[in-house]
Amino acid sequence: MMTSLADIRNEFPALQQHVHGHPLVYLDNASTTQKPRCVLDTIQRSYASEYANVHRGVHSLSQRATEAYESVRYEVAEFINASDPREVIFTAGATSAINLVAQTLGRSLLGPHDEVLVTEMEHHSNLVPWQVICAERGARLRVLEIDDKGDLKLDQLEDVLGKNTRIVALAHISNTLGTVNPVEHITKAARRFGARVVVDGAQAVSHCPVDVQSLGCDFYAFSAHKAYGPSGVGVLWGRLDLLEGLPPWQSGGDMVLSVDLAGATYNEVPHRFEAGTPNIVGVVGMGAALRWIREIGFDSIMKHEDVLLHAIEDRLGRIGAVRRIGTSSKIRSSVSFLLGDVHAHDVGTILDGEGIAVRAGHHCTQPVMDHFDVDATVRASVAIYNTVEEIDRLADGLKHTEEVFR
Amino acid sequence: MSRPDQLYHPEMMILAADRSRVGHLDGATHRGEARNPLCGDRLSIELLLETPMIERVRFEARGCAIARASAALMCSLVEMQTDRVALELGHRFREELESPESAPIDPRFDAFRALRQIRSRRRCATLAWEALEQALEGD
Repeated sequence: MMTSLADIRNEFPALQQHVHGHPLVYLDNASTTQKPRCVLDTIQRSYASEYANVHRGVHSLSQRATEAYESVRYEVAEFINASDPREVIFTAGATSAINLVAQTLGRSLLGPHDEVLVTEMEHHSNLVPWQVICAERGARLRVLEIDDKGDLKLDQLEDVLGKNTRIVALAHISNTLGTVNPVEHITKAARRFGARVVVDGAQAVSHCPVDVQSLGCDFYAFSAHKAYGPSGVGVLWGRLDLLEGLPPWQSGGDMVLSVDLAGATYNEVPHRFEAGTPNIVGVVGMGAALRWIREIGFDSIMKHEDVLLHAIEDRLGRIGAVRRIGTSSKIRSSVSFLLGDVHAHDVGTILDGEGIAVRAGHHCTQPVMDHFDVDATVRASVAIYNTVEEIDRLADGLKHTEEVFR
Repeated sequence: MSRPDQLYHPEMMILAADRSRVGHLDGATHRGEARNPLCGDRLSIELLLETPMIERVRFEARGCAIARASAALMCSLVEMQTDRVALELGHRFREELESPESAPIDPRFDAFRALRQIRSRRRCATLAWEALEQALEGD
């Protein structure tokens, strides 16, 4: 990579610490990533010298804050190759973005006999909002299953996608299995029936280039905090012609053009969907994070993360008690596994004692746990700042865990 | 701060491996179940109550070593106790987990003392007691 790994790691103050006497090995990146100094500095600077409310002040500080906030809309549009910055709606995160689509698109499109198609691997945030709106509208929720490798059963797509399908919602990359889904293939199939496609990109935006136009989807959601940015902020991208036809979701200040006691006229897209004072500094911090990713470059990111993934697969493969959950040939960033009959939480706790942070649990994907008939898994997920030496420490930690539970 | 692996000392591991009260209880009069929504762990108990005495208790756990150890200890403690005493033991167990590092309130809970410093795993240990409360107070 253009910048050395040591230089990248130096950008992250959180990685310099020791946990339980060991240098921190942070492998819980699918949950949230650590933040580079440029993001922390931007947040600090924004609050210290550029902070005022946006869109509604004539004073200079408000104008500077508005400019900083709105410029990120252009940067996000460029980052995901949106054709128009108005297609970028700032939200509280991916969950909020998906709820926005479910409550607006769902209410517009769904009625009895209509169907929403999700996949068996969805994070609860891309499943429950669709369950809720289907129940509300009397629509049917259908599911595209996964096979035992953790790939979608594409041969069954024709069985669950049809003339009644109004919306297809799927993850770009599975947060539990790491599977990269064939989004283009599914959007093409959905198009034949006029269904709208909503993609949960929470696990993708920091790991691979995202081009919403070539994906062919209608909506794309992601959070900043999984892409080196602050928590509490994210993006919903939607095709402009669709957004303009949708009703507002939350209502209040900033999303209206005029209000009298009899009613209100709504603001233009995207402001119609951003009621109230937004997460101003969060958005500005997200802009810094996306700039940082672009500076490193996806060629370097993907190359390095592939090395890390191969190292995980190799080291886990040498531990006889490890059972991988999700063995697709198209995995990015996350690997789930079990260690013999040791509960995932116990593995996570022993690893924590070694200074190694992994996620243990159902990862908000209980249907995936049901599919593999497990209660929980251990998940190691990488980011650009991880090293092969850290993967070796994970392997050593797992061997130590085996000894504790022998 | 305690090291997390201090949780897994021999006393805890012996309790976690104790399957003497694992399984289904024929003729149970009360049933309770508790779930930890954060991790999906489930713990169910069945007990035979000859009012006011808890005659027998059995549990089934889909959970970690701490949840299993806590359930095994709980079952051994509440058998042949009145329901009121059993519930009081549950309160004392929670107090034990919350209390600062000091002399244990009840030496029978000593296996779980490391949880005083490891808040994130306390719920694993209270799951069995939640199931007991549900069984005794849920009707």
